[in-house]
This record gives sequence, structure tokens and C-alpha cells, in this order.
Amino acid sequence: MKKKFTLIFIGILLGGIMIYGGHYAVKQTGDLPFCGACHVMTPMVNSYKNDVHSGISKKGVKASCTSCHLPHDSIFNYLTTKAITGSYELAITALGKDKDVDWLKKRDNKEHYVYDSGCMSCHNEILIVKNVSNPKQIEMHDHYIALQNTNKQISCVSCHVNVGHKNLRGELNKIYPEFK
Amino acid sequence: MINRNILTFFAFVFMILALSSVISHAQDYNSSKEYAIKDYHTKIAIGCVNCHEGTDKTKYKAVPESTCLSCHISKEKVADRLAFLGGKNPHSSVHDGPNLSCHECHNSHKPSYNMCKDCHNTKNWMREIK
Repeated sequence: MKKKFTLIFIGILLGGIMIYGGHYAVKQTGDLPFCGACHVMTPMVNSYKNDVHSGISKKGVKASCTSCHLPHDSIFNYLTTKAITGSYELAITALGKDKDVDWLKKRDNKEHYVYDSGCMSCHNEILIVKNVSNPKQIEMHDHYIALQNTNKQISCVSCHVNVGHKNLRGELNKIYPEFK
Repeated sequence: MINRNILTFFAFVFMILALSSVISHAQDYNSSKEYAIKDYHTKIAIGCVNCHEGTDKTKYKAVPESTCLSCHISKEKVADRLAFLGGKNPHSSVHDGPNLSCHECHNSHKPSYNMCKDCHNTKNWMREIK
């Protein structure tokens, strides 16, 4: 009987350590300084720090890297995408190929690495709110809803092109000048 | 009898073509040559009514700048995005600051016009505007 309780206690302890450790690891690898540790991320880090999403607004609300760059529709999808994209980026960096990435061009592909479910997890009433100063907001958000599940579907970042990284193009141009 | 069959066939083909033309015109007015919409506005599936008022396309007029800025927010904000160009920022030039009309350069239904190019060689600091 005593042995049984000891085993249950050890099981609970190990389970607790794994859950807490896993949660800690996921959190630590989803924000600065981890994501911005590599030199190639300098423009992304600087533009993020100049954006309200880094917490510099009066409200001080802060989004981490994974708040936007991982899906938030399910814990399974979140962890699977984190594992796949994380492994891919680790491999690219370890092989030294991260320097070959055309970061300016990569912005054209933003719908694939910024997830609407991430935006909506904070801005959860953005599509239903009607009390706004600019009526165009309602019109274009209705437009967004109308295009969902069609072949013309758009994402939040299709219109909010610089969200999260203020003047990213300018920061990228400091390292990769478009005009020489 | 043969002539009648041939006439019926051509009448049928004509009707199909006429009908498809009407349908495609109604569905695809935005991408017609005369009122083709720019790449990025097409990408986000912007339609006529998102810029023009009403549904009668024959009564459409050129839109005021305020329509552009209802999405693009302000000229200062647009200028800020190209701030890295310094004194060569076309949205905040040494000549006009951020006060130039959008319509001086940008056209929605025909190629845009690079006004800077009138006096400057812009190859080294500006890509071709579409």
C-alpha cells in the first residue's frame, strides 16, 4: 500500500514537472530574447520594439512573437506548427542559410506566417464591433468576413501590412538596401 | 431544311455568346480593361463600391483623397513607411512635404505616373510605380 502511494506521488511529481517544464519551455522559446537571438532577426526585433504590439502603448499590452506567428485555433495545431517551423528554422540557422533569405521578398508571403487566429485571440471583437470612428473599418471587416472560405480569402495582414513591425522595410533596408 | 438547321445552330451559338458576355461583364466588371484594378487592390478583392458610391457604375466619379485615406489613414502615415528614403521620400519630399495629392502620381484604373521622374533620375531610389 505504501509502495502504491509512493508510485502515485512520484507519478504526480513527474507529471507536474513535465507540465510546468513544458509550459516554461514553450513560453521561453516563443518571445524575445530567444526569437531575436540570431543576428538576421535584428530588423524584425527593432521594428517590433517600435510597434505598439511590443507593449510601448499607454495600455502596455504586449504580444509575443508566437502571439502572431503561431496558430491559436487549437493547442494541437499550436504545438505541431511550433515544432515544425521551429525545427525548420533551427536547421536553416545551423546550416548558415539564414543569411541567404530574401527578407524583403518574404514580406509578400506574410499570409503564410502570420495567423488570423493569433490576431483574433486578442482582438476577439474586432469583426463585430460597430461603434467605431472610421466606418470604413466596418465595411472592410465585413468584406473580410464575406471572403472567408472563398478562393479570394484574405488575411488580417493582407490589409494591415505592417502590423507588429513598424517600418520593417526601413529596418531591413539598413542591412539589405533596395537602392544602391 | 439544312439551311434552317444551320441558322438555328448559329442563333444558338450567338445566344450563348451574348449570354456569357452579359454574365462575365456583370461578374467581372472590376477586371474589365477600361476599369482594371491595381494588383494589390485586386489581391484583396476590392470592388467598385469600396471606393465609389452607389451601384450605378455610369454615375461613378473620380474619388476624393479622403476615400484613399479612409483605408490608408493619413499622408503622414504613408510617408512614415518610406522614411528610410530620407530626403528622397516621395510621400514627404523636399518640395511638397506630405501634402501632395495622391492623384498626382497614383491612378487606380490606368498606369500611375512618377512625377519625380519629370526632373530627377529616380532609378537609384525608387522602383517603377505601376
